[in-house]
Amino acid sequence: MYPHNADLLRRDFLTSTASGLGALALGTQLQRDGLLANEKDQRPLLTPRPSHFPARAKRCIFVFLAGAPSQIDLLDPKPLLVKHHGEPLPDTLGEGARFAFISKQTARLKGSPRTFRRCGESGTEFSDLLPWISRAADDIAVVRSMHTDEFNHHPAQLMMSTGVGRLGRPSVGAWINYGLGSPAENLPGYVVLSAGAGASGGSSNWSSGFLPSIYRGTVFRNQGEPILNLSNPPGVAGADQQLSLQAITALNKIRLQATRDPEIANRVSSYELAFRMQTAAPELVDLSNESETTLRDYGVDRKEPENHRHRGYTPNAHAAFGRNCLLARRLVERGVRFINIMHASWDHHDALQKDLQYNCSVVDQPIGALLRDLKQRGLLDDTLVVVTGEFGRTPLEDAHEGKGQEPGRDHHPFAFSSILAGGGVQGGQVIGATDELGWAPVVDPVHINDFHATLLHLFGLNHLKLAKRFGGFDIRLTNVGGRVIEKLFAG
Amino acid sequence: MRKIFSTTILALWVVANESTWSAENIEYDRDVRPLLAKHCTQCHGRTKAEAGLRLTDRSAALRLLPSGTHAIKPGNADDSVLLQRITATTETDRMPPEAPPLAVDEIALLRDWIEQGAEWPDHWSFQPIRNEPLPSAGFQGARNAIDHFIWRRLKTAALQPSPEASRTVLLRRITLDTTGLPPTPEQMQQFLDSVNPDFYERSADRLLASPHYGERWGRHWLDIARYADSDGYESDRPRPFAWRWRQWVIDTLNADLPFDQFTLHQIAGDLLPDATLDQRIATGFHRNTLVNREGGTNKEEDRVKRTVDRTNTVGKVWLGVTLGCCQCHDHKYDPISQEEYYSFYGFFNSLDEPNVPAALPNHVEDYHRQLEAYQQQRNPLIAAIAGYNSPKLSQWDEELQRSSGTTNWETLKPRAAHSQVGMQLTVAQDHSVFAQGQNDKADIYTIESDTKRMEITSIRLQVLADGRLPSRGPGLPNNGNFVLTGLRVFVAPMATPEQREEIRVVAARADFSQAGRNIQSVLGNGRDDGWAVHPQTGRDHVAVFDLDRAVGFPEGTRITIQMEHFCHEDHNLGKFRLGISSVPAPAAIGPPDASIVKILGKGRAGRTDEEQFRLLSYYKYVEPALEPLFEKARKLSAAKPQDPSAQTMAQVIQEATSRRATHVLVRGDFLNPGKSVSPGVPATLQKLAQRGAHPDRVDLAQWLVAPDNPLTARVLVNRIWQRFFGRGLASSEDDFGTQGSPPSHPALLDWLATRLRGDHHWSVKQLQKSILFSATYRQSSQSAPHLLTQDPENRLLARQARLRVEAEIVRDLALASSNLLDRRIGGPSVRPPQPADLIKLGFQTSLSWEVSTGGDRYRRGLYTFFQRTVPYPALIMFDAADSNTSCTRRERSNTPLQALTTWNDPVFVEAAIACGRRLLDDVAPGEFSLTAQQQRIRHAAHLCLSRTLIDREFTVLSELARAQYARYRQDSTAAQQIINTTDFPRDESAWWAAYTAVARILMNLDEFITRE
Repeated sequence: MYPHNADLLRRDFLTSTASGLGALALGTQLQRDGLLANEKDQRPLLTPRPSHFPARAKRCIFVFLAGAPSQIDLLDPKPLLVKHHGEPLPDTLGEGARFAFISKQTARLKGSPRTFRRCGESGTEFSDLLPWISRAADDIAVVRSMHTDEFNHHPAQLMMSTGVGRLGRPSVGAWINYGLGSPAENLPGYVVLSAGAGASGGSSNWSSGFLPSIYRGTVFRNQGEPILNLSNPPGVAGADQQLSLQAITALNKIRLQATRDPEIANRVSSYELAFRMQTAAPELVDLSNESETTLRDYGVDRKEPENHRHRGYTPNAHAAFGRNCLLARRLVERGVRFINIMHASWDHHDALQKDLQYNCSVVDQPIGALLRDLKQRGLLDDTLVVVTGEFGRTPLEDAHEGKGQEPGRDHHPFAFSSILAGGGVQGGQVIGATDELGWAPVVDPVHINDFHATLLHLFGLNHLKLAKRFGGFDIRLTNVGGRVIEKLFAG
Repeated sequence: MRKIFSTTILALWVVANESTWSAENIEYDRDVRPLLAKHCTQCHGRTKAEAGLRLTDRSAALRLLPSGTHAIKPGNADDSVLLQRITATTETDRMPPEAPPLAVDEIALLRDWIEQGAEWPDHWSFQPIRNEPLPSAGFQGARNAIDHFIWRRLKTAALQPSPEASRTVLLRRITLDTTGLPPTPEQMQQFLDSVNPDFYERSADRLLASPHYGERWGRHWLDIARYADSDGYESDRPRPFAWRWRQWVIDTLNADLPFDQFTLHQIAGDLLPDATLDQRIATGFHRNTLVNREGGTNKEEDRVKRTVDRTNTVGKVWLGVTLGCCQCHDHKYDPISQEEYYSFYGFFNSLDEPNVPAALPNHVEDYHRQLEAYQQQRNPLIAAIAGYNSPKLSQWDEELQRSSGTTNWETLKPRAAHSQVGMQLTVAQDHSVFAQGQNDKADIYTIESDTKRMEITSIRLQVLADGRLPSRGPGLPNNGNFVLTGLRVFVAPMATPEQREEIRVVAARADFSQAGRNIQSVLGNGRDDGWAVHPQTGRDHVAVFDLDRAVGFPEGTRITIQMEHFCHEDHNLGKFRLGISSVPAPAAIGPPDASIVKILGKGRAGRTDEEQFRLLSYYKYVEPALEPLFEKARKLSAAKPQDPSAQTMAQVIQEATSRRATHVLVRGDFLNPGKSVSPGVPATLQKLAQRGAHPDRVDLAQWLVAPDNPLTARVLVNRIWQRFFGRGLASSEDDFGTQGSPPSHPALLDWLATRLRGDHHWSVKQLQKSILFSATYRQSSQSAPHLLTQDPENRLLARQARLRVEAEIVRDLALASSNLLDRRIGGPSVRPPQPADLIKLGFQTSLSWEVSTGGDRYRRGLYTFFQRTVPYPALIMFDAADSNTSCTRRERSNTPLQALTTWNDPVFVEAAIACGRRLLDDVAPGEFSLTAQQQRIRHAAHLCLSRTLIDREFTVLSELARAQYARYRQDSTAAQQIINTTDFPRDESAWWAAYTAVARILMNLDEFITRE
């Protein structure tokens, strides 16, 4: 084997200059020291690197409920809205508001029929649709004052994933891996687990944008091999693949000697990691060593309900989502830096209660189990768990389609709620508040750029410093905004 | 103070920059501007001018401040407030506020600069392109002027250029750089054997003339133009005709259309006098923007987004400046205001975006040829039909003329309407029938009516929309559709209705039929097929059914019509009306076309053959003797050549008929228009020479390529240079503004730009030729150890660069080496194999990926259908442009997922298998002697790496081949699995498997996917 040649070569090359890496940086035209991470860093791109300041979170599990769940029925109870249910939209709120489908003239307030219960010692209120998640109330911070700039699904999902509502930017997971590398030795630093219907943003939600493609989310597939092209071709056994690797390495080494191009050493490392992934990834998705209790807690064998006329229904949504949450814990254990769990179809313009109930029954138990499991294993302290949609839903009824269906709610970028737990987040608290009708934040509004700034902060990264020059700009995840929400942090 | 620069560091500084700062030689652009930008201009810049200070240009910076002081007094650092403030000892006085103080060397630099007079020239790229003199010669081995510029600079750094690369590397390099394909072993042999002194130049000329050149350089332009085959965003609908513009790019680059014309056609082809189809297609450049078709999208918002994208893209691609930030505010660094931005935007603010017929020229030629042949067959047939005569026909003709062609419909007045399953059928005032009830069973409606009419020839069924029906009907199910599976007609004398007789329905037609649910299917006996109208529900439709013969009884007729809905349990009709006609085979709907009336009016003698035929066809005139002729005519018309202009469209832009007023959008918000502006260009650059009262895109295009435009030529030269060396002479190829890196060789950049516009008349191929011919380009890319330390980024070009090829070329190399490649040029995009579930990762479950068949499975990478939300994985893995914004330079990352792609992706495995087969077939077929084995290994290297193996490499591969042969000889099942066939003898299968392993290794080497 050919373990560390790349590093050796680079070390030779660096130590042979008097001042090492620092001198190289000095010699560049613009000394943007500190401003641009990695610019002249010659180490392999995923090598772990220090954060700007001590980190609270080491890993993140980001559960993206795409389509936008109704915060009013799940996390942000509004008794006054229930009281005024069915009344027209107050003029003051209609001003300047945009809707996808509701018309302002006919808009009616819509209270939630759900019951909310104070949970845990902290007494945070959760909807009866979240019985499992709410058990972790004391570990959870609910942010009720989230808001975004984008109004349609895809742009809004991009905003949540990449900080701006346009295509072409790196996603949160890509930025964190870019800033910190990944300690996972045999797996990618950024893994995407997707079950059920896809999100409108598709793969742009885990894009590396203009960053090198190694920072892009690697999709673990639900059928066939877990990673695309992971299996050897038919007729090629593990031993054959190893022979192949040895020959490739030997020949690359010969070329490296001739050309002295350090990129060849990188190529050698890539093949070695690829080969290790071929073993590690199947091992990761093999759940045979998990206990009965664990499997049951996560609900990996849950049957799908009989009636499947639900938005977002897929034949195995319950089981697949449970499995993905368990896989997320296994990935965390193996040092993977960032895990995206995608779950789509929360766009409840109609049949709100029926479909919300269905979706919650898919995701509530596994997320609850994940939080408990992480805590029991001592992983929650430095693993950040985020559960969020891309925007919220209106406190108004959306009766645009629904022949005989219960009306739903329309898109609402002005206010929504997200859940954070672990990774240095102070649990058992509610951040921010919306007005009595749930229209807009009135306390501690948290823009998505603020949300990202805070998330990076938990990882010990200054969002102003984590930047990369592209198209003539120093681009960062927080675009031109970003304010760290200190209240979220554990003392 | 300057002592902090150790000699080592200074040496490094020297090599990294073309010239160097010393106290005697400070350059504003290189040394001072970065410091001001980093520490000062955020508050003292174009947007903000705290304390009245703007550090944007020299006169502004030297101005007397409101405080009565000067920030900068040239020649007097101590009296300059700027220096006082950055060196202040108290936190409250010191600049920048709330930030660490400037480093000592930074302060020293600013002090020296002010002391020396605070020279502050305009930004280099906004100054006119200089007609640089050639550096004095005297460099041995220089091949052309480029080398003099490069080597002069190397000399100042005490470096030597690298020797010329080997012939094998050279040919592979130029072949990849010009065509994106590897040289064939035969081409390589010729190249190696050539004794011609200009063997290299001849090859370069041949390659620049290759039709694959347009594919290679076309792909670069597609990156820049953010080309894709779908809309993007949630809906991400396919764009079936996007490729037509790509075709234009390939053809145009092959023809070396001068870049000024190339620019003019794409920016304003539609506005050129008598614009040709090609010139219009060229404007498709602007149609590559994303389009958001998600429900609830504000159309104006999306149009503004597209216009912004067009503005930014033109700024970036031609001018190399970043305009994007001016959408919301004045540019912080470059001299462009928000108002100027929207003036520029104004050029693109009144666009229509139609698709126009755009058949490929060779398709049009084929069509005309086929059409002529078709007419020759058809004419005698038509003449025969027109020449036919009979008493019946004469009578028919006369009757029709009397009625002026109207077909005389009579609405049936139902006397009874009955549902077989107990639905309630109500007859309304207007004699329409309305159905109500459970609607959960397949139904038969029976409608009885009486009529006095004789000679009844046709039944008319009007299906009617109604607000009471779901989705407005005309059917009863939720979606408003219905399926009529059968219609039966019975007649009886009114006096003896029990004596009824069924009359066969022989023909049917309708104004609209759902795909797969044609009106004809009502005639058959099938219970599952019938007539339906999705998606055109919610409106009226009509169908006409012709009877076998004319019927009617003198004393009146009882006509009973049965309508069957067998197909689903609920697809019954909701509302309809019946009618009859007595004109034989009347046209389906309403009064006849004016043109038919006109033909009719000419009388039999006055009509041409074609007119007579049209008339008979229009009314579906039926007579047994004519039937065989009509049958022939029907068959022939099925073979009528299709007009390609109706099948191939092009996405273009054109100026809207009414000009849209342009406003500054306050903070970029489309709902917040501010000051009105007219189209114009930034004042920093040369003036716009407008032809008329309103500047248009032609003016803009000509302005971009005008002799006094300082940017376009430089930006283009720089980008082309970058393709050949891995980085541009200015490394920030997308930012020629003040925040970009200045060029390493400004004189060379200007010299090349001058030549491009002058001697080369904007010929890109001429420019490329001069680069390809230079000794600088022909250098070896192997790094001597001292170069790695002295110039690790290779800015000074003492060597060539090793560059991993682009994603598409990775694919092309595998297919070319294995001879699987289909080398056809152009045409619609194709879909090579990918796992079936991948396409479902997007939101649109309707997206599909039907794998192309035949040669289309093996087309070059640039033809792969690019679905924006779920791009083809092997492309994205290797850093293909994401096509969302203009991409002027791709990343070249190096990842384990890339390794898995070339190692295990079925496309690459198939290539390895084919290459293994090729080794068996190309070298001593049927022989497995030691010599044959050795030759095959060497041949493999020729195919995959274009070179001969050195001994150590040869040993590695031949040992592996023998070991794999032994293993697969033993395990023949595994061998058969690899080669995916059981048709070969054990021994041959084992060798094939072993050579597949060899090919697979070669195709996974760094060298395979690297241009050296």
